[in-house]
Amino acid sequence: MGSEQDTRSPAASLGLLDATMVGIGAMIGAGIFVLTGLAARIAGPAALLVFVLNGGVTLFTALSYAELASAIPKNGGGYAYIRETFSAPIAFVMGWTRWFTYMAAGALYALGFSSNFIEFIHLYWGGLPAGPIWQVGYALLAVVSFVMLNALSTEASGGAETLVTLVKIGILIVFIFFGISAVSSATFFGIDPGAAPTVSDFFSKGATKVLPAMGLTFIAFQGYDLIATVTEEVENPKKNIPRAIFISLGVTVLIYLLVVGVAVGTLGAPRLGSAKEKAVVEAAISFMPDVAFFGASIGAALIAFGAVFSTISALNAVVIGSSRVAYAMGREGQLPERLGNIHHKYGTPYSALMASAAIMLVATIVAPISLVGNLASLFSLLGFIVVNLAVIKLRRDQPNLNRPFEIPFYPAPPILGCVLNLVLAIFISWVTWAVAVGWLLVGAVIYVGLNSERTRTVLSNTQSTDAETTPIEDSTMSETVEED
Amino acid sequence: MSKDLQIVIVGGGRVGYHTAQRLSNRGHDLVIIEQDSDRVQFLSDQYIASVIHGDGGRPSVLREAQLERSDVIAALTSHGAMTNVGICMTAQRIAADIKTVARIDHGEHEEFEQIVDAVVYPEELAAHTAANDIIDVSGGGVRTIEEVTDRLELIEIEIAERAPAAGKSLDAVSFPQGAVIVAEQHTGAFPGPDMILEPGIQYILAVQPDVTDEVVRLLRG
Repeated sequence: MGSEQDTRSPAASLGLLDATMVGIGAMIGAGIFVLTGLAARIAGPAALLVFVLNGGVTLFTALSYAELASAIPKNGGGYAYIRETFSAPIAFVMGWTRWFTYMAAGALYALGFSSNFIEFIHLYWGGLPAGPIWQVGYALLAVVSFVMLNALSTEASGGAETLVTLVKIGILIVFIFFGISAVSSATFFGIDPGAAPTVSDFFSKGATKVLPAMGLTFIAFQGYDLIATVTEEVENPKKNIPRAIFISLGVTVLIYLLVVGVAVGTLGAPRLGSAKEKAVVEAAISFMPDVAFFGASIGAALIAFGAVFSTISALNAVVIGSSRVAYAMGREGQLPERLGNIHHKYGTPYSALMASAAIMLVATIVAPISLVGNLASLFSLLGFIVVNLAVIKLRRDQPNLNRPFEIPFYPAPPILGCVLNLVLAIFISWVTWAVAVGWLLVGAVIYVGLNSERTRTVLSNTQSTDAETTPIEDSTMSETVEED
Repeated sequence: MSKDLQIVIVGGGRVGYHTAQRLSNRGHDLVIIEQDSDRVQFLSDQYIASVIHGDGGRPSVLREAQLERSDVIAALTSHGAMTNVGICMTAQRIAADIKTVARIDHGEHEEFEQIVDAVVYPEELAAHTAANDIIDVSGGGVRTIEEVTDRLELIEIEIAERAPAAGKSLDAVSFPQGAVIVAEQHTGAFPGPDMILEPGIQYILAVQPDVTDEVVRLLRG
């Protein structure tokens, strides 16, 4: 029998740096390459403000994550905390939307990957077939490869993440370093050289466009949920998890600020907007030193490589993230139990991966990139609202719960988090809301189907009903199931 | 049904903590209720369970552990059987379906087994292990595998060179009433009447405690 200083299990292998990198990796990953163009198209030069404000808004939710992660020692991210706090139907909605967020993000990153991949290869070899169908084809290939990789081995995740993220940051620093001297205020504001920029030049598309652009690009800042999915592997989690959350958020906002500033200042918002998910690469081509390297400009090649590399590593992260959510829901009995099983030979959450992959592939094929981005952002926002509510509910229900990290100035931050996230969600298009409601309805059907079947089994076993009485009719039913 | 159990442990001392650690390794979800604030710090550093800082004897504190959605409550405080059994009874008043385990501090299991679902007596388990280890390090050749009930235990005995039964076939040895050879340890072979009790070989026996000494004398000398 070991001493009380036994190491925790699973092995606590992630230090503060690693945990921070998990978060930065998810936030800096593909978002910066894929979303910069979209933000510039909607908000003009004010895209800069869009990312700063999003960072500010998400800080409130980050505080909530830090408090929950330090008090509830569970992998599984937002879903695990909601499961702990709310009744089963609400937890189901949370899991169901987080699952979709990861899959939508997966589709977004896969499509971002393929357009940057084509751009990169075309620098060297113009013969690579391109075109909308090919683009989707490359995206599908990327999804399938990473699903297979993660299905066959658990090694694909983990350790390499820190290195991968450092490479991504390194490439962006090169971009900022060369770009910052090429920035001109005339290009930035889209005015004649020498003219004095005005506030209205900054808000060239109107100040009101900042909010919808924030809603669209919000997904870029959801990476700390990923830190929360690996908390049990973090050393000294009580201290390191809150720190990792805040450092990763701070670094991410700073890098976004610089990269978006350079991109707008060198290429101008209109051209960025039309370059869409290749915006950052296009900007790099415009200013990077034109040193030939195997027939292409090395600077442009480096940034294009960075885009390919970042989107692919972000894709890997969300493939893992989506399967973990489905797996956790399977184990909790909130999705078919099969999803909560690991493969008898590979030891991976195989069924959860395959289910996630199937939906990700469909999303990649049928959904336009802006809709996918919108959906992922909308579900992130809604999910974060619930996380903020969980903090408030848990403070009331479990006042004596040990909270190594406590939100300062409580209850203002979680309330602000709820309100601001809701405001952003309202500005997302009604088409997105319609698709979102559709997905929730599919979830409702599955949920009721799963539970009515189980309730029957429970009743035939003459189990007594649950003591918990909840105003929601559904939850009494599902709580009965838990008792089985 | 959830695959992982929701478990509430009252008392995060050594017994409570080590129990929590084992359960956490098996993937179950845990809440520990602990009174002492230094201990709360320690438990929270381990990051294996949510920790509620409070007196588990109070219903309001027990309620915070969300008993309605938990499968089992284990009262493992060092404050004696009555405290732990009391905590279990309170828990059952709050959530009728919860299973209960209470730590006790004396040997009278049966008294409490009518009230709670199971009792643990850590000192007895420790004594059991200690007795085995004492015999083991001194080459005694007899080891208790498990006490099945108060009236039956499984033991492992290595036949000594000069024991009365050494080298004899089973039908030639008369075992006392209440002892039977279950299997040979290494091969797992079941005994027949002509099986020879080889010196140096270990056998597994089911024995009633009152004849254990007789069996040991037969097989160890």
